[in-house]
Amino acid sequence: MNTKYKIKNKNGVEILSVYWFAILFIVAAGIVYMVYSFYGQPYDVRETEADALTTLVARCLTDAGYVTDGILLEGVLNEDFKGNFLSNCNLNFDVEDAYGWQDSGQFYLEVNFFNFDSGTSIGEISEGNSGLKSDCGQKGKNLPVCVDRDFYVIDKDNNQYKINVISVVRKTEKNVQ
Amino acid sequence: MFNKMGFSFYKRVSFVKETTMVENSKELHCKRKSKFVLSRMAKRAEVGETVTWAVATVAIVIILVISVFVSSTYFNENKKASPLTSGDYLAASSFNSWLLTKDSSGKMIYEQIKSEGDFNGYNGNLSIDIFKRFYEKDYIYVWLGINSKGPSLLIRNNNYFGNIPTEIRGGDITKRHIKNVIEDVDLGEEKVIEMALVPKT
Repeated sequence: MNTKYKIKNKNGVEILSVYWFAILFIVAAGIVYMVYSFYGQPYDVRETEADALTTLVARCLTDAGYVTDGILLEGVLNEDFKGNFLSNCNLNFDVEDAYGWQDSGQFYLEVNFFNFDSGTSIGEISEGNSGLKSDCGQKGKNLPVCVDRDFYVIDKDNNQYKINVISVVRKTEKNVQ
Repeated sequence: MFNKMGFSFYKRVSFVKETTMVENSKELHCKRKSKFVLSRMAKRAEVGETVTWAVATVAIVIILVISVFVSSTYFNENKKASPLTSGDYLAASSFNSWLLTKDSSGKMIYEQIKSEGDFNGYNGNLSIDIFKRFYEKDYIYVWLGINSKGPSLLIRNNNYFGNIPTEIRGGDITKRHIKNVIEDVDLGEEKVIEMALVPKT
């Protein structure tokens, strides 16, 4: 009798061990999947990058509350400044040689100058891959990130302007999976 | 004596035999009974244990599936890097430019507010045109007005932006919430002209 019970119990313990290992494996696999799905996904830094780009442009265009000297001439955008905008503002749109990024630009920047009272345009600067702008306003995970912001500025003659800056950053391969 | 002894011996032997037989039969009966009872109890215990483990397994799997679902959907969506600083250069620049703007008489808005102690029609409407129009899409509250320097229970309001938002009312400690954008310029007499922006969460 005892021998029979012993054998039966032994089988039960073995089955229970297998069950325990199976549960342990399932729980461990679940935890590994959760950790991978959270930490395996890259942080999307494109909005921060676009914000930083917008701030750099605003810093370049203003000086202590006034429009920086040489940007506007007689109330319109200076063509010399516009022609060398990237070098004047110390901006560089070069990207690393990965995912074919160097063939198509990963940045787009558009700066529009308006007369504040009338709302008429007095100049426009655009740099980078203009094709990226068409994706702005659309919803989707793999689309470029757009930051569209305005600010108010005056010149030394108290003329008031609105400046609109649109910054677009693509780089989807490294920021979205 | 012999008879007595023999009788007694016989009696003793027969008594012992009888006792042993009764005890043996009792023991056997007990053993049979205990075997019968144990097997039924063991079966019930086994069934109970199996049900417990089955329920536990289902519970473990459900908890795991929920955790995996939440981590792969909810947490993944929010993996955006937070801004490097809490400041807003564009709003601050607009604020400075607004203060430097002169009215038709050539008086700067800063001087107007400092001397009048409040907004007037010109600078109030201009501030609405700039700050409400440009920054209300990015922030929950956009407030401009005269505020006290440091902690104060005085609630400042004006005709253009109303009361100061509760999120930034109550002095310097609460104002320094990492995400709030606060820009102020000293007006003297423990007062400041302040721009406060409370971002969307």
